[in-house]
Amino acid sequence: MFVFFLAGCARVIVPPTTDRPTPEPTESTPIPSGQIPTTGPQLETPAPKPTPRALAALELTEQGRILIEEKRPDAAIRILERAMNLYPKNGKVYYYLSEAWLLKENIVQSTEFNRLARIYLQKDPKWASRVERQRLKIQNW
Amino acid sequence: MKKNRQRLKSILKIGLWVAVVAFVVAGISILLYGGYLAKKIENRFAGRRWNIPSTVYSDSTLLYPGQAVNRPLLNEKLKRLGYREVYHIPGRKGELRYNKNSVDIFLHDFKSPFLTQIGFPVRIRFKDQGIVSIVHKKTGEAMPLMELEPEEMVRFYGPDRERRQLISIGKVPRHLIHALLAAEDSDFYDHYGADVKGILRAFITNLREGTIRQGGSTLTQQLAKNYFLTPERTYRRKFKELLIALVLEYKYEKDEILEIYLNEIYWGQKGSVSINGVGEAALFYFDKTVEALSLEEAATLAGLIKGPNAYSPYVDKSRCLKRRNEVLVAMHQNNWLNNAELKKALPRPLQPAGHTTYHRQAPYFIDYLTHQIADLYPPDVLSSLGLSIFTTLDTQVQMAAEQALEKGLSRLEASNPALKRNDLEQKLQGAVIVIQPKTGYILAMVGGRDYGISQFNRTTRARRQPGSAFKPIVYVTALTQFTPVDRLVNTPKPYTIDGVVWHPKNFDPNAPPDVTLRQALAESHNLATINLGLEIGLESIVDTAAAFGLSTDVKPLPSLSLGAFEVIPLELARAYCVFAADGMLPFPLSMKEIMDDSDRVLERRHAHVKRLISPAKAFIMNDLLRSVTTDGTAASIQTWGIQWPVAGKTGTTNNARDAWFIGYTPDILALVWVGFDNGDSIHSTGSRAALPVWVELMKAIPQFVSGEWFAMPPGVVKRMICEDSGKLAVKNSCPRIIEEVFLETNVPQEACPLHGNIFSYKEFLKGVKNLFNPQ
Repeated sequence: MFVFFLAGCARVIVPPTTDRPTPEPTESTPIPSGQIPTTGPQLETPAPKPTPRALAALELTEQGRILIEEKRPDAAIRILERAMNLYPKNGKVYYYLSEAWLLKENIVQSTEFNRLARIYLQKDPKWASRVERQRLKIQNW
Repeated sequence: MKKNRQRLKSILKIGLWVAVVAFVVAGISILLYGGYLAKKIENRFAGRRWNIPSTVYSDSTLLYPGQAVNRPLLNEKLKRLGYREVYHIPGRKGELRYNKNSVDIFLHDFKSPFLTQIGFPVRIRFKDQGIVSIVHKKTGEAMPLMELEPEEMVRFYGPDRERRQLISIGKVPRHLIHALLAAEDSDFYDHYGADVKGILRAFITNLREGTIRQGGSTLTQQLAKNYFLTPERTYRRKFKELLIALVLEYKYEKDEILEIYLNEIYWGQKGSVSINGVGEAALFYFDKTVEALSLEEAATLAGLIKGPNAYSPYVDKSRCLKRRNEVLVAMHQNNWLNNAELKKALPRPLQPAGHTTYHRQAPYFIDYLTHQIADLYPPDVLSSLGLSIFTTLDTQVQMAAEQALEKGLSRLEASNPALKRNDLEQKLQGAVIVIQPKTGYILAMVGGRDYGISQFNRTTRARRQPGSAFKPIVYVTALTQFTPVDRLVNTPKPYTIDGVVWHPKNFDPNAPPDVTLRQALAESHNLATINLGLEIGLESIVDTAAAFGLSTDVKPLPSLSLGAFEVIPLELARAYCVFAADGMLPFPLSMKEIMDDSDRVLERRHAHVKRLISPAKAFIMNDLLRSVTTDGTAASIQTWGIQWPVAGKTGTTNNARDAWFIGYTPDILALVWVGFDNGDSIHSTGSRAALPVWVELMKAIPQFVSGEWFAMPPGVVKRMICEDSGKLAVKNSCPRIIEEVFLETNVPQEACPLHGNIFSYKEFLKGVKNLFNPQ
């Protein structure tokens, strides 16, 4: 009885709620009593249905990718910039922009876009490893 | 008698000699003059033959299924692009038909640096102001994306104000050449520059009339007249024309002469600008390239040369039709048309394309662009080299921005008569810049209320105090040391600057004595911001301002935190882009490519980004600035129908001289400034004067509103915080708990000391366990 009484008085640091709108999944997790919260693993959320903008941006990104394959970096950059404006959360666009700038041998821009790709593709293991390989490629250029 | 005969003989002999000498001298003179002309012609033709004005184009427009559109603005755009409404199914390029819930368009051909699109018919279906589908009408395939061609915004004309599209003779269809020869000079391929029969006929007519009525000119003579001579009608000029024609024929091939003629000749008038050359004429009258002209259209153009304005289909359609048929008959007489072709062509109606009158678009943007490229392309180059300049401007956004500003300023004047001015140059002014933060593409630039009255571009040349719109520069500097939940002192305190005591105040006299950092920024508390600025060091704020691209002189004084030092609006907009672009500073981009008349890209500007702050800091700033529109000075944005997440900041300067609002989403950023050029008070605030303009603008461009928010980058964490203590919340104890974002490197470590017992449930359980298992 005493134990349960004390348990009622115990402090539990509150996990994040959704009182305030939080469009992105949080990085924090429920915190056990008495512990100071630290960054925990990311929550898994079901992939949302792509919006029309996202689909249009993916279409442009694909066109950009083909232009990179054709070794036409300037044309690729132009089209990828449009994709980026249309849907800035599309991480692949940053990856391909980095590739295109690398084709133009502009390491500074290539590095910046690789960094952005890392942010936006961190939740996709397959792409995250591609981005990492790209980072190493830029580093060894 | 014999003596007289001998005298006569010697006189005749002398006369003959004089005549011979005179003839020889005249011959030599003509030859020398001919040689001189030949040299002159050669020199003229060796360089550029024409001054072709350069053209500035907007960006092309993307359309895709699911996209929200502003139908009236889209319709306006289609009209400006030269699409003409028809009531049948569009079968020709440039035709368009509006149906109940769709529009059928036969797209124009277009060529931009990386895309050559051949026109094709599409159907765009709409529902509730959005695109439902886009279908290629020839293949029946659904299209995921389509592109409307860039819009011609301005041409840099030289003093002659001529429009011209150069063509090569190899691309001109035979029927056009035959129509031209039938109308103007059927013996062109047989004479040597002059048609003797024609000259005699003209000479007799002119003698009979006592003045010069008829020319009898060949194409070569017409070219000589147009290219080298003035249009006066004298025998002296006619003689020169004849000589030049002979020299031209001697020096150049027939096809070469014909090509120059086709590119040179005057073909009509579009407002104050003349249409020269068949390439431009084909576009102006039929919205087609020369290669695509039909027989009837070719005959119409050939018929126009006799009197481009008298026979213009835009002036007198029946007269034009009559003249066209005369040309068709002449072609038949010259055996260039058979009976069947003539019979088929004569009854065909005349179908000119129609044209929109030229009006200047986005003049402040054009000035800015011209200034940007002035070093490489000065005005004389722009008016002669026929360059195509592709820009980032979106004409729909530009129109929306112009309309929103004018509406907002008129509304302010109507609500407060003290703002009205009789002198047009003293009127209430405003400026709007719209940028895509990730790339720095300038979508719209409105440098003032009316370019006709004031050409001063307030977005790029004005230097105005930003007031509270400067505060984010202070707060981003503070983020390494402070968190959004840290409390700031918000009480008055005098400051002595250069011996003068300064008593800053809050806008709200009942402001709380201490506020959180988030609250201070959202509600724009002056005193808390000054104190924050002093704590983090004014020099560090000056450094941040410089790093964020603010080029104006900013001094480390306490008033700096309140935006007392002037900024250039474009630079301030760019500085805010850093937050919206994951910490990257973009370069504001107006020009994308410059192409020469052979479609070679001469200049190219890509979006260049430079890392300035971490994505984590940028995200926190976005989150803080979002509070401005949810709970702060711009919270009224929601009542005006902006239901999607927006970050922003209002700004109002001393005595209400300037009102600002800079608002953004991940997709778009817009800055609005309102004020008087002479610094008079506008008796209003950023939220009342500038914010409504921003709202109006955003509502007019739904295609740029995704409703998305920024993705949380690594380096940011969320924690539940006790609102009273600003420390980590304790479940079932803290009465007011909020979720807050923190830099991973700067997270509160302490649990709330105000609520609940400092008691570890886990530790307690461990203790109980140890009690029963002593080890």
